Amino acid sequence: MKRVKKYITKIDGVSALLWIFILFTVVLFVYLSKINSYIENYAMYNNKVYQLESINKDMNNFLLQQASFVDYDKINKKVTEFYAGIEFLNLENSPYVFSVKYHELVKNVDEANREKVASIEYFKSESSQFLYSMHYLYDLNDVISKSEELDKKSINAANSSLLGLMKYCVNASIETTDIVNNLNTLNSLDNDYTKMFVGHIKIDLKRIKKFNEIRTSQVEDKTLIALDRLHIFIDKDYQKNIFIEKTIVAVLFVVAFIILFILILMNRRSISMRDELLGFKTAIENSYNSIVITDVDSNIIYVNEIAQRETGYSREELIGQNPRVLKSGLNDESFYQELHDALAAGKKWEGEFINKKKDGSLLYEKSSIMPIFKHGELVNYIAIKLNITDYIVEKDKVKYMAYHDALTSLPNRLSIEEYLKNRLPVATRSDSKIAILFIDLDRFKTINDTLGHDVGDELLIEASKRMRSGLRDSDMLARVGGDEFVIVIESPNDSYSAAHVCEKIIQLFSEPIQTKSHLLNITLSIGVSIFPDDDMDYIQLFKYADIAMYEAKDAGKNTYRYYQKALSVEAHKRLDMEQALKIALDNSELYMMYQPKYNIMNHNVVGLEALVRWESDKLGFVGPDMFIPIAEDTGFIIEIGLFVFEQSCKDYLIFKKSSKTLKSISINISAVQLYQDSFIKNITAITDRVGVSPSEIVLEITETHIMKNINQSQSILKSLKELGFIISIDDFGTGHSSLSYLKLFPIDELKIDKSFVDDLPHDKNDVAISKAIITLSQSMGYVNVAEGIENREQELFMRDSGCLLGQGYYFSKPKVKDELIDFLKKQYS
Amino acid sequence: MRFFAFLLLLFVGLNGEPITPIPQTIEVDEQKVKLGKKLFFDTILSADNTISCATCHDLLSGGDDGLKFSFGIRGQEGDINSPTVYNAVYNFRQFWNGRVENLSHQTWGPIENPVEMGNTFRELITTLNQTSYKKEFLNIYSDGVTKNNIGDVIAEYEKTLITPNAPFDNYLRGDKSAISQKQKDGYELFKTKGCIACHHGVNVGGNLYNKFGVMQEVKSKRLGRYEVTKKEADKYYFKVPSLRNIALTAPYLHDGRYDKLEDVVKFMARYQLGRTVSQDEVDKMVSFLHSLTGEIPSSAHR
Repeated sequence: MKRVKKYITKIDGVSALLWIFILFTVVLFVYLSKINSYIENYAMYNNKVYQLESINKDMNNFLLQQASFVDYDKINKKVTEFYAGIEFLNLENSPYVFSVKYHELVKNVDEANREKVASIEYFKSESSQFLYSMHYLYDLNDVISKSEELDKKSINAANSSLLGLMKYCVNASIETTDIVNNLNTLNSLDNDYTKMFVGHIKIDLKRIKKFNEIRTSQVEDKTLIALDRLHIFIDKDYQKNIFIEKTIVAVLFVVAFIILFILILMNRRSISMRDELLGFKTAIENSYNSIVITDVDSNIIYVNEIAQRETGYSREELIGQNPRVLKSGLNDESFYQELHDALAAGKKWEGEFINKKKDGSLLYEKSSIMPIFKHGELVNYIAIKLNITDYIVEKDKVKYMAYHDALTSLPNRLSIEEYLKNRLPVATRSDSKIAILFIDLDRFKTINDTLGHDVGDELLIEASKRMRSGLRDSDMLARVGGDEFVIVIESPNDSYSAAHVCEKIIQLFSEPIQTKSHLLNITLSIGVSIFPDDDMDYIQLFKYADIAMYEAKDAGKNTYRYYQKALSVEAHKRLDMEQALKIALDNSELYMMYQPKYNIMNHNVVGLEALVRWESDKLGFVGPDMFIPIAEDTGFIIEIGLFVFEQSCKDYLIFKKSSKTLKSISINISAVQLYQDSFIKNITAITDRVGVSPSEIVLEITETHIMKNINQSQSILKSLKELGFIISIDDFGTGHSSLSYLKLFPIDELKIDKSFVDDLPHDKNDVAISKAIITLSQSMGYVNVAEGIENREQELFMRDSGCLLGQGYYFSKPKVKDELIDFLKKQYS
Repeated sequence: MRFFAFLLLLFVGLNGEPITPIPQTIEVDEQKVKLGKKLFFDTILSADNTISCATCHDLLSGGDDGLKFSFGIRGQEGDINSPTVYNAVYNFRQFWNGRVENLSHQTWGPIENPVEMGNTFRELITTLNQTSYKKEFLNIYSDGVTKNNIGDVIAEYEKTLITPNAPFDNYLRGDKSAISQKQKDGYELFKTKGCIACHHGVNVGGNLYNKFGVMQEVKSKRLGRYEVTKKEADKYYFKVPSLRNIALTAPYLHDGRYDKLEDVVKFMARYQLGRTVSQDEVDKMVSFLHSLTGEIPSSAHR
C-alpha cells in the first residue's frame, strides 16, 4: 500500500497530462469511429429507404399498366423485397431501436404498403381477367366479322365496341357511352357469339371502372408519404446526432489540443530546466567543493569530480556506498549523533569532518549536509564539503609557531604559560609540587653584541640542546626571552629536586660551547620558584623565579637561587626599573643635562659633560647610578648611548654659539657600547650627520670597563683616537687596575673621581691620591679634570695641585639645555 | 385488322416467353436442410405421433397425397385439397387462400390444425426437447427448439423440393425437340386462349389471386381470401395454383372436384375465360401440361 502511494506520488504532472492526452485521443478515436459507423448506418438506412421508395415507384408503375401482359413474378419479387426492407428496418439492432417514433413511422410505411399490395393483388386479378377477356374478344370479333348471319351494322357495332375498349389499352380516353350504344345494337341479336361478346365487354367495362378505382385510391401515395416521413426522421436524427457527435469531437479535439499545447509548454520548460540543470551540473562538477548526494538510505548516488579527487576514490567505488567509508574515527560519536539528530529533524547540519582518504591520509572537510524534500517527502541528502586540510595544517603550523620558538624549536613563553595553566590545577588535585626554573645566560648580550647575532643564535641553539640533554622527557623546557629559558619540573622529589637539576645544568655548561667560529665559555644564572609553596599563580611564579634568577646573578652568576620572599624587594625594584626602562626612550622620558667643565684659573667654560637623566612616569626620577647598570645589563645602553651621543652633538652646536671658550663636549661611553661592533660606525655617522668634529668630542670611558678586556679596549681606543676623538678615563682611581696598564691606551684626559675630591683638602689619603694622579697625568701628558668641586677650598687645592680643569656644583650644577644657554650667555655678557 | 393484331402482341408481351424455367439449383443451409428433412418425415410433429408432413405430401407421387381431401389424426378428413409441396418455394403466398407469406410460416398451419396434426407448439417443443432433436437444434440455433426454428428448418428443406428440367423447361432453354409438336401447339393455344394471363412465371401460376368462377358463378364451400380478409370483394378469390407437375397432382382444384386434366381445362375455359374450346384444343393443351412435369430431386428420397 505504501509502495503504491509512493508510486502514485511519483507520477508527475507531465506523465499525468500525457496519460490524459492519450485517454482523450483514444476517446476521440472511439468517437470518430462511432461517428463513422453512425454515418455508415445512416447511409445504410437511408439507402434502404431509397430502395423502398424505388420499389414503391415500381409498384406505382405497375398499377399504371394498361392491360398489357406482365410477368407477376416480377411484381411479386418487388413486394417481397419491400417486405424484406421493412423487416430490415425493424431489425432489433437498428440504431433507432429505442425510438417509438421510428417504429411508428416504419409501421406506417408497412401499413401503407400492405394497402398498396392489396390493391396490386386486385389489380393483378382484374388485369389478368381483362387480358384474357380481350384475347377472347379479339377471337369473337374475328368470328363475328366473318359471320354471314349478322348484318353489317351489327358487325360494325361489334368492331366499334372492341375498338372503343382497346382505346383504353393504349391510354386513349374511352367513350363508354358509344360502347354501350353499340352493345345495345348487338344485344338485341339472337346470336350466341354476340351475346358472349356483349357479356365480356360489359364485364370489361366494369373492370376498367375497377382499374380506375384502384388507381384513384392510389393517387394519394400513402407509402411514399410514409417513406418521406421516415426519411425526414432519419435525416433529422442523423443531423441531430451528427451535430452532437461533432460537437463532442470538437470539444475533445480542443481539449486534446489544449493538453498538447500544455505538454509542449511543459516540454519547453523542462528543456530550459534541463539546460539550466546542465549548467548547474557543470557548476557542481567543476565546483571547488566536494558534492555528494545520497538517497534516503544514505547510499551515495552522486559525487562530483572534486569529491573523487579529494577522497582518492573513483566514482564507481563511491556510488552505492555509505559515506561512512570515509570515516577516520577521529570525530567522536557525539559528533555523528549531532549530525544524525539535525538531519532527522530535517535541518541543515554544518561541521568539520575529519575523514580518511583512500590512501589513509586525513582529509579535513568543512561540510554542510542538508536533507532534500520533494513534496514534503525526504528524497535525498546533499553534502557540500570544502577540503580544509591545508588550512588545518597551516593553522597547526601557525599554532605551533605561536607556541614555539622559531630558533630553538622549544616551546615559547605562551606555550609554557598554557602548559602551566593546565598543569597547575592537576598538581593541586594530586597535591604535588611543580618547580619552575628561570635560566638566564650570563653576559649573553655582550656575546651577541660583540660577536654578532649569528654567533648568538648558534649559541642559543647549542645551549638549548645542552639544557634539554640534562632533563627528563617529562620536564618542560621553554625559551621565554632572548637568553632566558624556563624549565618546569613536575613532582620534584629528593632524587630529582630543582636544586639537583640546576646543578646538573650549570655543570653541563662548564664545558665551553663550540660554535662555528668561536669557542665560548658561557655560564648560567638560575632562579627557582616552587608551586604551590611560593604562589599558586603561574604569573607570580614566573616573576618569583625571575627574581630568584637576579639574586643568582647578584650572587656572582653561574649559580642558582631559590626564591625567598624577604630578598625580593630589591630584586622587585630592579625588575620594575627594567620594565620601565624598556619604554623610556619611546616615551621620551630620558633627557639631557650638561655640567660645564671649566678652567679653574679663569673660570671659562671649556667643555661640557653630557649627563643623561630619567624621569620615569611610573617610577619618578631615577638616578643614573640606578638605571645605567640595568641598561648595561639588559643591553638598552646601546640605544640610550646613541640617543645621548646624537642629542649631545646637536645641543653642543647650539651651545657653542653662546660660548667662545667652549671647545668640547664630553660624552660617557659604556663598555657595552664600546665593544659593540658597529659602535665606531654609528658614532661617526652621527658626527658626520650633525656636523661636529670628533676632535671636539671627548669620550669618557670608565676605568674598570676598559680593564676587563685590555686587548680589545686597546684596539678600539686606538681606532677612536685615530679618528680624532678625545679619550677620557672616567672615575679614575676607583678600580683595582694597575696604573701601568694606562700607558697601553691612547688617553688624553683623566678625570679625578668625585670620591677623592669630596674630603679635600682635609683627608690626607685623598690629598695624596689626588696629587699622585695629577703628577702621573702630567708625566703622561694627560689633562686632568677634577670632578665634584663643591667649594672654594677644593677649587683652590686643585689649582694649586696643578689640575687645570674642574667640574662641580661650586662652579655649576648640571643644567638643562635652556638653563645652560642662559648660563653661558651670562658668562660672556 | 392489323390494328388488332398489333394490340394482341401487346397483350402476350414482347419480352420473350412468359414462362421461365426452374433453376437447376437453389442455395440452402445444408445443416438446416438435414434437420428439416428429418422432421418432415417424422410423425413426432403430430399430437398422436401418426402424421408427418410426408403423410399428405408424398414426395414420390407429385408432392401431394392424391386424395380429394387429406386425412389428419384420428382419421379426420380435411375440407381442402392438399397442394403439392414441390416448388412451393416459388409460390408468392402459401395455402389456397394465401394466408401466409412464406414456407416457414406455412409449416405452422398443419401442425396446429386440429384436423391435421392437431398439436400445439408448446407440447411439440416439450416433446422435441426430450429427444435428440434438442441437441440437433442447439447445434444450429442458440435458442434451441422454438416455433420459429422448427418452421425454419422445415422450410429450408422444402426449398430443396424443386423439380427442374421439365421437358418444357428444356424446350425454353433451347432444346426444341424436348417437347412434341402437339405440345408446342398446346403451348400456343395456352397463350392465345388467355390461360397465360394467370398461369405464367417460374411456377406457371402461383403468383396471383383470382376469382374462382369469373364469367359464371360456381359452387364452392370454401370462400378463398375472404376467409382471411373478410372483404366481400375477396370472396372466392383463391391463389392461382402452379401448373408444374400438374399431371401428377390429381385430383384438381381446391376441392379436388376433377380427377382428369381434360375436365379441368374445359372447366377453366368455361368458368374462368368464359369461352369455348374444342376437344382438339383441349387435347393439345393437356399434352402441353404434361410437358411441365419435372425431375424429382434427390432430397425427396428418404
